Amino acid sequence: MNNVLEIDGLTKTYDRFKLDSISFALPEGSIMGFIGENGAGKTTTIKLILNIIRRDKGNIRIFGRDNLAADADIKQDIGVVLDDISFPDSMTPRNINQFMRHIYRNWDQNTFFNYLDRFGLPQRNELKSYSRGMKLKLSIAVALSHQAKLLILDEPTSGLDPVVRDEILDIFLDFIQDEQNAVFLSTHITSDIEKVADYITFIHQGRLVFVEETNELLNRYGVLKCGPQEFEKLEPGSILGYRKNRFGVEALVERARFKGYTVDDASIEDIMLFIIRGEKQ
Amino acid sequence: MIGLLIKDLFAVKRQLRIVVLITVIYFAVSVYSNNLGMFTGVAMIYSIMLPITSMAVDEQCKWDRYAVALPLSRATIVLSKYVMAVLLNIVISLVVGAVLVLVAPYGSGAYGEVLPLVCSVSAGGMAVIAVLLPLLYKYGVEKARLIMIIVFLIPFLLIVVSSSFESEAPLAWLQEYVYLLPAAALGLVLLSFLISIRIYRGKEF
Repeated sequence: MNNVLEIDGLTKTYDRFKLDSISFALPEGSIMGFIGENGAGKTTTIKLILNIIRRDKGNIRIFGRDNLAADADIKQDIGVVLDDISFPDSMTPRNINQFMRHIYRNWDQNTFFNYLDRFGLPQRNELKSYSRGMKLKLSIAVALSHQAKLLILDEPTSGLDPVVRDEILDIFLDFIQDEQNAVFLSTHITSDIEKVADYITFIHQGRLVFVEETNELLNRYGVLKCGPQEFEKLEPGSILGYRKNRFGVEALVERARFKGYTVDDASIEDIMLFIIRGEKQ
Repeated sequence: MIGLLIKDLFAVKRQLRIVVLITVIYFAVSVYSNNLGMFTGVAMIYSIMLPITSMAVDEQCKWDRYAVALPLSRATIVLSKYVMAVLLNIVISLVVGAVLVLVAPYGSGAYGEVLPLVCSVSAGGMAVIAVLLPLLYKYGVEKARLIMIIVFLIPFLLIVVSSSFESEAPLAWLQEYVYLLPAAALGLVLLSFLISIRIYRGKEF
């Protein structure tokens, strides 16, 4: 299986923040969820992939080609959704169609207008009359209308209601059906990731915490509930994070090491919260 | 690049309507008061203002961040702004020239003054664009506006001061070369373009 996106040792330093040597790979035919709290470095990583900002170190290969050497050529095959819409308020979707077809070789206006209809977006209205959700859907429609092979999306579902979110996630699942396309999406909404992502990349304070297959991750980790005394007796180093409450202790653990205990399923949100906010042993 | 030019046209379409309206009004006032210099000046100011407006709109909606994520090189993005500014200058110069020729029989009747006037105004507009665009790329519209005022105040003051010493009109020597001015201004624009590309390549959004 080929990788659509390969990132190796990506580093970018700001005054008060450092994206520190991030590496991961996104295989074709899959969706990768990119999670982490606000300020963890998700948007910085996406901007580096798209050469919107300059890296200090590291390599990025997209479709097997260096993304600096073949920048504009590679971008013909990437669909992009950034966290804010970037079209002037005075434009209409029809205007966008008129200039985008000169920018993307494979721009297909029928596809674009179909998505507008599907998302219920009026073609002739200026964007200033659009809600945030509508603008987001419009960006997604643009990203899907030029036969892209890779979608890179920064928080594409935030601000959308659950019904539309679900519809958009289905579109992403359709998109990867041909086994060559791939989707890289950052989000806060971990339930979306659980629904569609084959892989999860988790960063925290500019560092990579893990890159895992979603199923593997959910199988491996669980939440152990026990009393305070029992907790003290647990093997040190086996707890990834824990929190105490009135009734006892909850801890994120690797299931394999706690065969005799009652270990509940952990959601991705649990895993994220225990690792970021949980106390360490 | 055609895509970007069309995009800019849509981005400033609202302002464009106002510009056309104001130009027509100014034309009427100028004809009425028999002072076509005013009309010419206003038309050229708009040829400078529209590129600034388009950059202000870009800045407001964070267009550049998106544009560099599209299959466009940074040089193309900068080039499209310059092409727009120069095209606008040429179109407005032609319109002004045509209007002046049309009204000449009813006014001064001096056809001979039209070409020098159009040449100098067009060159002036291009020279301003050449100074302005790198400043806009470097400092953004908000800050560049201030710097712009200072940049244009200095030569203005120098001319005023020098004219108080010399009996001849300031910059009168330029009149001898008036037909060469647009070419010289275009050279300046080219230099300015190279500087802007350098600035834009170093930018992060």
